[in-house]
Amino acid sequence: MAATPVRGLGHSVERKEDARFIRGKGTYVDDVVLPGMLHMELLRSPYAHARIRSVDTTRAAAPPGVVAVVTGELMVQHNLAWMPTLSGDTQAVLATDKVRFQGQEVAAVIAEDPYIAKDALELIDVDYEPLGAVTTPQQAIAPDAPLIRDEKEGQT
Amino acid sequence: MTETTISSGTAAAPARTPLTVTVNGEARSAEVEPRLLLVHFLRQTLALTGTHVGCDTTSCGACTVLLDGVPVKSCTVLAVQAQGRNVQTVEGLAVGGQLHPIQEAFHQDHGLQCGYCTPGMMLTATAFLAENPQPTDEEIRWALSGNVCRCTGYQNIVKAVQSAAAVLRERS
Repeated sequence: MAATPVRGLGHSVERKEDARFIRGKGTYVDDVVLPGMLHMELLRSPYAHARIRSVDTTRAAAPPGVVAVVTGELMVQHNLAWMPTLSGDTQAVLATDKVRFQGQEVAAVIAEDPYIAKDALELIDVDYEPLGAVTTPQQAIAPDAPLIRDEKEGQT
Repeated sequence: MTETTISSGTAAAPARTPLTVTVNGEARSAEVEPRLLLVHFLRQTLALTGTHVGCDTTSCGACTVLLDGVPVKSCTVLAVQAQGRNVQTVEGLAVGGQLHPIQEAFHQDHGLQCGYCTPGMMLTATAFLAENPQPTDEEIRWALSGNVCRCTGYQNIVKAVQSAAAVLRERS
């Protein structure tokens, strides 16, 4: 078969970006280091559904290298506690009144080093009041099902 | 860009231990916390960012490096466990600017797209081919089953490992 000129269609084209990737020289977001860069770690809820009575960050904010401990309450003060989702819903950035799923973000630690940030997570004292959880669709439609999204009451 | 204001206190010095590891043939020493993970020693202490953290839970294999020639997931190895041992990372695959056959093959056979899993794939593959120079596709898939790719697909990765195997057989 006669060679046809490469015009981009019907031919394999050698990738130009491979050179750096196969040498470990790519720059992914996690590879970026900037002057004064800080690191964030998130504290997540162990409960699927619980009221947050209080979040005490006093101990977490104390260690050297911890720059800030952010809670839902602080987000409320800046009117940033809730964010829109792509599906037209709203979602808590950091939980305020309640946690609505296991693993929900409750607080964030910002520190000079990721290890310091992770250590500080363990010093955040959250007082939870566990509430009934819903783990199956059948439970969710039961008449006495716990109301998880109480901020949506009357909106369906 | 203004520099971010950071707190006045500096990090309290946690207990540190001297560590020397041969990384890609070069002895590298540092004082590290005993709990420092090998992947963080490579990425942060030595600035070898070719080793990636994918899942942080030993599931994905992106952080795979060779410890005395054996693939390990460096997010689950303490740096101090590598004391006095040899670590090979993706940065050590090419020698004198000459790509390793596995690197050449991943490029030629389109064994990568985003490239995030590629260093781990290539290191697992080189260790595997050292043990099994003439593998079947099935054996390659087993060997790479601890390394997850989420974009290229495994078809071309297996193809690349076969190509590299052929080149390596010719050389030996």
